[in-house]
Amino acid sequence: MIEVKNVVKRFDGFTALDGASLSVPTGSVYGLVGPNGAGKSTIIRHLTGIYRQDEGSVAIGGEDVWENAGLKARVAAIPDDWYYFLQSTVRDMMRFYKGFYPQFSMERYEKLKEVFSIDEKRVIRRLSKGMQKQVAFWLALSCMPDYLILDEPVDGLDPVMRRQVWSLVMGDVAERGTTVLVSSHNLRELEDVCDHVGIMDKGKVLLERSLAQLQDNMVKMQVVFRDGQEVPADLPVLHVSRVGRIHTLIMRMNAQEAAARLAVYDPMLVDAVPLTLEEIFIYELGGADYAVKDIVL
Amino acid sequence: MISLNYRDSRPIYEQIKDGLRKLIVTGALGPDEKLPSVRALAAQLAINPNTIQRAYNELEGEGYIYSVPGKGSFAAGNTGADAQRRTELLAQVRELAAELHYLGVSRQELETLIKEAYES
Amino acid sequence: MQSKTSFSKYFNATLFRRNLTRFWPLWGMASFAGSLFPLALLVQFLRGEDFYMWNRPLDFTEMYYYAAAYAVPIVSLLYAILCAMLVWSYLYNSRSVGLMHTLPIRREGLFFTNFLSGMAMMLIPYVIVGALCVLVSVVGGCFDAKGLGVTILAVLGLSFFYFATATAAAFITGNIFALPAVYFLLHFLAVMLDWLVCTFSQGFIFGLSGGYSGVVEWLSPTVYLENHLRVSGTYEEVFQRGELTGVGYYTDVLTAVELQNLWLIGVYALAGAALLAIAWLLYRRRRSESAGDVVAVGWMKPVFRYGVTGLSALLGGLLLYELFWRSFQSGRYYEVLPLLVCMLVAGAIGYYGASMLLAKSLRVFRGSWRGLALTAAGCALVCAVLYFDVLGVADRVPEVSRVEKMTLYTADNNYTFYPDEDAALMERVRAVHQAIAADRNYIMGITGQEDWRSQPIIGDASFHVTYYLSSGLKVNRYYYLPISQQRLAQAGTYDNLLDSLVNSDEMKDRRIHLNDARFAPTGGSVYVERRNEGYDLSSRECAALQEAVARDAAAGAWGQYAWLESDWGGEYALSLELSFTYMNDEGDTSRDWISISLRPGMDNTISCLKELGFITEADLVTNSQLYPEAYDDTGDMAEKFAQEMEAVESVGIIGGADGPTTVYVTG
Repeated sequence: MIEVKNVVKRFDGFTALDGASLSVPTGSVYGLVGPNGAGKSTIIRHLTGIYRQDEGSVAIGGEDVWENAGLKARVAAIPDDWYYFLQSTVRDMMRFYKGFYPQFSMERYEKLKEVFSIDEKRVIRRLSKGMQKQVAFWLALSCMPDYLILDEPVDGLDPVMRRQVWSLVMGDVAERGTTVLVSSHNLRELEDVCDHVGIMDKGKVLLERSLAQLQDNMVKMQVVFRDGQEVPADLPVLHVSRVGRIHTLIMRMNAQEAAARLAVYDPMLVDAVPLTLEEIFIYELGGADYAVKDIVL
Repeated sequence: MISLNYRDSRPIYEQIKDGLRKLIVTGALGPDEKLPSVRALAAQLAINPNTIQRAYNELEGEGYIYSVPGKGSFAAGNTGADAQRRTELLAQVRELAAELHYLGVSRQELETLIKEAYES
Repeated sequence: MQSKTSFSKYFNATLFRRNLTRFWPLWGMASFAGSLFPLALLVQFLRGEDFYMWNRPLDFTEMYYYAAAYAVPIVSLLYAILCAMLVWSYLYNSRSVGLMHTLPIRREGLFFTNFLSGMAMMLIPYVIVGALCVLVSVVGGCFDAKGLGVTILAVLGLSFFYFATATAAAFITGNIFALPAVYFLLHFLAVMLDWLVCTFSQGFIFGLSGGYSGVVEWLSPTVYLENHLRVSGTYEEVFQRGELTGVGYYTDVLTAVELQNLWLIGVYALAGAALLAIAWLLYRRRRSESAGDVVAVGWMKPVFRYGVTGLSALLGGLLLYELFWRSFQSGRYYEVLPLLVCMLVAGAIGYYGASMLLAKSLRVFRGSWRGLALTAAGCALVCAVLYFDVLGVADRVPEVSRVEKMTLYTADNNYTFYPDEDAALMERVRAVHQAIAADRNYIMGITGQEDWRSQPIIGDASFHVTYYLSSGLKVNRYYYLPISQQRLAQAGTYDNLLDSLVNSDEMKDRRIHLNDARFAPTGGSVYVERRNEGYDLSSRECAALQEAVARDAAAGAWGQYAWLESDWGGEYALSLELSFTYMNDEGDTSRDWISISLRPGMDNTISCLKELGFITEADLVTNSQLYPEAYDDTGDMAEKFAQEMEAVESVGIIGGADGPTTVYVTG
């Protein structure tokens, strides 16, 4: 399991992480979301052992990450700016990784060669950005990691490749119990692959839940009250919008509870609509002074 | 086997459940036929295996499938369909009937439809 | 197939190999360039060309030693920084830092593996060139194992030292462009500061001159090594017969060759090891986010900021002053206020430049007044210390008890004094020095005027004294003094004291090296103007003449130094030169020449010359008799001198061990 506890990190006076904590259960896929500048990449750099925290602890599998070569051998990371040696071919980089990661599997590498269908003798510098990302995945997965840490991983991949990549990762999660931490803006995608979500802003993790919990704890109810009533004041709602007589209420409870609460007012129409991750994200942060436009969803 | 509609606002596990239920109900997955493994389905659909596991668990709870440790999950026969599920569906039917009624569909038309569904 | 990986804490073979393959152009080109030399030698041998070192192992070794002493330090200096820039380049951009520090390897492993890679890159060209040289030497019959061994040690030591310093520089900075700057600064800061301090001091302080003291040269290893590593060879004269002609001749054959002060390389290598340890400590504490910063170590930032400011104020201030104010300067000394202004301007530029580099932005002007104030205070302090001579440098006249050796140049002669034998003389020199220092205002007043030398009652004299203290330091003063007729008669003035010192019997004896075991007469020459003929002297003739002159000096006929006028015309048209060999303190022998001007009255010398058969009575004509037009008595001395200079065919400065003696050859 991946565990970050109360980490503080300052850069020249600027506090990038202000007591951030997150916890990723073993074998789960954790999506880290947040606006730009929230600190996602910074946390990831702590988890991969690039930065050292000023305060707090950063541990993977119960062991501190910092300068822990044995642990890092089981962690593969794909940063948003993956580095390769300038004149290297795919094969050259493969040999480099092979020399460092004890669990590297040539068999897997060869198998994945078919999947990605990129000539391994090509110089990486000459490949398109999307293909370079594929190579990053190719090599990372060949290292047979127990932990996979991805920063904006599928940015720049075409939809087919995206699906392909996630398919591989999900296969690993299912088969080998790989633990995955992925940071992204693309919530649509995260919804499919994550089972846990953490929302970050301004250097803190505001909330983290399993996806099931999140989805079960917020609901969008479309209601038409009788006699053109307005929304009763004592009804706990996060957000209200309205088109004509149809009110759309966002409430912090599951569908059954919401229906029960609304039933009291004997509405003409009550319909529960599950929220997408995107909407949950927006409404969660809306409470934390994140400027949200009034969106009719 | 199961296709997911990404634009559908229903949660993924719901879509999977629905997809599997449809297969079982229509007989495409016969009784005691093996369902795809969680792993295979996760890889095929590119979605979280835990989500799939949850769908399987709930389907098992509803009685549509049963699992054998070490072997996988299998479609159940017609026995043990969930009472709660029945209530759910009946409520949906009631809603649909109300709408049909609003649209001017006659009672006979609806009855004919029901008869056809039960006889196929 | 499972991959084989090295989990050893300190070394990763993959990384090592990758470094060497990535950077092959550098060590490949170096190897190629270096190989050209032995290959050229080989070609020469195969073509049967006669080269002095075939079949002579020691000569080949001598060539190695010359390369090691003079070429290798400079080559290593330059090559090491190139290797470092490649090997440590990953530290300087966040992408590569991201890769390297996420790999399953500890920083120890990265440090050690990369350092070894760099050392390998440093040494591979030497190995290749060395192997070729060994091949050539074996083929040429001049292989010498000891010479090769010593050279290998020297190369190893120097390569290690330079790459270690480059590595230390690599961990001070976070920017690839700053790395060579830090490196060269590290290597040459000492001599640069030495030069700056000396240049500034001599512009303010009475008696100082010279732009370099060499006191801290050991802190600039390349300079120090170039000056102290030496190849010394012992030769023997051997009679050989030429193969083709059968003619016999004498030739010098090398019987032993040594690379002196090799131990210095060892000391520097140890220093390199210490620097490497520091670099390792810096790496352990290094923050990855410093990639791209000019200074990567937090506490070094103010050092950088104010260091650059200081250097800029000194160097830039001097430059601005030279450019803009020097032509307005009256007198020999710097004018404080203009210099201060120049320093302030240059210092401010340096301060803001450094601040911009540190902040990586151009917006550094806000809130910077504190730093500027500090800069201004620093500049003012430096100027004040120098201008008011706060440290009392101008008045410093070391006690004889603290002096190990004293050298003096005055009245056209060099003298060396040791406290054991010459304590009294040294005290007299000190007295002159103190008198000079006390009278500085008078001296500066006269020498400040444009044409003070042409005044008839004023002569001039140089007074250059160096005290070598037992503490190892030197006190070096040079004065250019006006000597006046009036003051010569006044007791207690420096003119008077100098005159009585220079014209004392002891000093006269010294001038002729009488009874001085260190000087051995070896020969000399006599030139008779009238007949246009010259003769060489043997060592016995030289010794005889030396005695004769000494007797003339005792009789008062020779040796009196005239400060105001030189009566060239009254001298005989003969030139006599005596040469001596002299063993200096370091054990080197060198030659010293004395030029004796002959005048009527020097009977002993004249009769000695006659006895030895060099001159006859007819040759005893004075210059004014021989060239009456040139030595017109009523004319201006300066003009006469100028005329004589026109007749001079060549002017030579002959170097003796102690210093130069000027010889004018006329006709």
